[in-house]
Amino acid sequence: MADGQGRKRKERTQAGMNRRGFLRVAGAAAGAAAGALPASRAMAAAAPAVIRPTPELVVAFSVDPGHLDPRVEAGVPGFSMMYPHMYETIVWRRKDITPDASLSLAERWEQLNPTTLRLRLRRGVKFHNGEEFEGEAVKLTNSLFTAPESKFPTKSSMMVTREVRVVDKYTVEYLTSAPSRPLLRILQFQTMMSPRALKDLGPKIATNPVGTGPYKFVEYVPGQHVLMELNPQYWGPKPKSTRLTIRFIPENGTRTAALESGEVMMVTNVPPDSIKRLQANPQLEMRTSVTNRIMFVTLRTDRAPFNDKRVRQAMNYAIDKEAITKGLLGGLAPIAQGPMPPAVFGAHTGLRAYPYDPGKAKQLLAAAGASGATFNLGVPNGRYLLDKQIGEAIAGYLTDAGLTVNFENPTWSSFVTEISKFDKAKYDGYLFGWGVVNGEPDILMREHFHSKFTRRNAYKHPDVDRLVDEAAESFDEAKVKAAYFKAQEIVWDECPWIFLHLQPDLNAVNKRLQGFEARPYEWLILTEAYLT
Amino acid sequence: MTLDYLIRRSLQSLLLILLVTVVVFLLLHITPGDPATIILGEQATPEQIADLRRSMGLDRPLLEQYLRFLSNAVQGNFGQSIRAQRAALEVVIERLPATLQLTAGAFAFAVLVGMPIGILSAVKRFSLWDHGSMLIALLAQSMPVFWLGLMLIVVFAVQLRWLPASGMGQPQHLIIPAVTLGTFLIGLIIRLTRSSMLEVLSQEYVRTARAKGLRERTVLVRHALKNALIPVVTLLGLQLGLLLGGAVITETVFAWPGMGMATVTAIHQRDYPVVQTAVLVSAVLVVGINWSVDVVYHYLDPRIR
Repeated sequence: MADGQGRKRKERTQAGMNRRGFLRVAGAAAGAAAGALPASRAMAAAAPAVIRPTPELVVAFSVDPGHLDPRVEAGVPGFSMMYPHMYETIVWRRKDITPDASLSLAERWEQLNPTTLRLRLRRGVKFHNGEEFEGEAVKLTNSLFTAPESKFPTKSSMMVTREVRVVDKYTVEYLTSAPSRPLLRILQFQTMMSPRALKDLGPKIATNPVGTGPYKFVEYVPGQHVLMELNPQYWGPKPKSTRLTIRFIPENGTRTAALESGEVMMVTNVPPDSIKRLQANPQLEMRTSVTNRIMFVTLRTDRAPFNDKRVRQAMNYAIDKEAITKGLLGGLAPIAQGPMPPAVFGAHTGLRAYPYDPGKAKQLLAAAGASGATFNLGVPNGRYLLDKQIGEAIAGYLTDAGLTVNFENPTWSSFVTEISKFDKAKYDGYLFGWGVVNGEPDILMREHFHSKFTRRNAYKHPDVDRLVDEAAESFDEAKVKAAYFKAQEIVWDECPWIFLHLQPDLNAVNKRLQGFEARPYEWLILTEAYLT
Repeated sequence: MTLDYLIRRSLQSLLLILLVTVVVFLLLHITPGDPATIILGEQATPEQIADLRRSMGLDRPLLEQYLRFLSNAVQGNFGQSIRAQRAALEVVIERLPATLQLTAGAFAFAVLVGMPIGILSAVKRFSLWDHGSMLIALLAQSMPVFWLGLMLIVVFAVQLRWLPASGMGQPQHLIIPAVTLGTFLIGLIIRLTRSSMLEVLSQEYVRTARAKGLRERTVLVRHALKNALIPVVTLLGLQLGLLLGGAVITETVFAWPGMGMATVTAIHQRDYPVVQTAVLVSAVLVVGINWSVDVVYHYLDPRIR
């Protein structure tokens, strides 16, 4: 109760205006409107009531995830709210996405044999409801994520786990049906949930998170905000802000206005056309990162003439990627220099982007007898940053190179329905983005380049299949990297994609906000953020 | 008021709601894209999609799907929100008070500002005040809600920092959204109050009142205004439905956590049960308001019986 009152009081301070202040402002406004006061005097009279941010941290996301259930798809905003603020996963990572035991609930791990990963759990860790974190929680959580009714988006990658064996209170073993090197990175998605809370709260846990994280859940008001406060029992370094409020402001203009007015200290998803204006404000600055989301046009390698490598290479030469990233994305999106984003484990750093060479593109198309061929290009509208404009630019460049482009730009729902027809989809190629949040390239390489899984582009290469399998089953880091390097070189040469750029993460902050930096994996980590 | 009228009017409303259920049901089928594919996302396999289609009943004949939807809806069961993992009706209804608060604020603002301007315009016909207020009415009706909302935010939140840019909680949060939403209605109210008042002022009973030597103020307030307001009040009742519609845009601009914002979010997240429920709840509200206005009007004005 007292807590609630305290909150109310603080919210009032956040808005910056008590009743008296409000009346003063209203009076000044009325006076100014009636011409009784010159405008400058009216503003001077209102000055004491200027909204001042409080030391508590208030930030604004563009989306209300609708729930805070780690077992269900929550998108980047939802996951950002949960991790590592309220919930923690058993394996956590450094800023460069390398798994690090010193940051994790598992304080040590070892691969006992190719199908057994043993994890030693941190002692003395408690859930927010006081329950101790131990082996049984790990076993239960894993069973929830892999259950038949589980709706977890990357459930298929966790299905590699055959069983979680509780060796003792603080030791668990993940047993897999086949050797699985990616498992350790996949476990960055395995949230530890309190068995007691799951039992006590039932489905209500979806809006009442009980985790082990540095912040305790206080309230979730749909459409408005999530409020958390410091967890004094937290095992690791304590966050610098005692209270953290994440507000939901979907409208771009309103979200940036809330930052400019000092109501919030950070906003996500800054529209690219607002960047210059925000940068011109001396109190604000952009905090951007290059993410692990690679943008590309995936091509149907089983349809003529795109089954000819020369045609696909020509399409890579035909597009001026630099003009696209500079002209449309303000130079904030680097051109992809390989099939894997550079922060992903095993990314090849020796490859170089196909240069813009329209002459060579035309030459290759002519050599393949594909000049004037029809290319049905699908581009979603509103799914990725400036997808429509980027799609139009691509269509323009390909037309210049001599292809006849049928450009379609449907809404995401129509688009995803069409591309899910796979080989029967009408598009010969479509714009797509693939994020590698956990830094593990296995799914990316399989989904797009391993013939058993390439439903999107029908790409086939026996060496790539072998190398991707080898990289997943080997625990020898050098060998894994060598396999991925070779696979990427083949893919780079064969061009089942038109390689484009890496999508940037565009956040803007008030300069008073310190300790926050955007990460390559798109999640927003605010545990070290504080106001000066 | 006859019972016959009440029954006839209620049946009409029920029929309308039934038609709305058909439209709401078809929403799922006429919007582009396959719901199962959209729900499962781009990584789904064809088998998973077929499974979900089966479990959602999308493989059954359309009529059978509709009848099942209707029978569930009558029992208040609109399915589970795909996103929130709760009953769709709960997700929508919990946002209703915020929408009502915004609508009431906008309504109060429009009435308190619009009516006096309209009355004064009629009384001071063809004066500078009259021309000025007609200009205000024109501007108020032609400004897009979206643009006006953002302009008010820029001026009062970003530049002057007098009011918060968005959100809900304190009374000052309501001011900009209510003014934004109410502005459209102000134009209507000014114009209608003015014309209705002018019409009444030219009636003979007003001349009689003046001839009796009553003070001008008494003539205006006691005799003219009372009758002049009948069409205005009717219009206001009917406009409430329009305000609920306008609230969708206003709520989205101001991150006001009402039903409109919930609907837009659900559309973005392809949460079909929530979209269907929100549309149906809004339709029932509008039909209910119109029903009440008609019944009250029928009671107040004997001429339409």
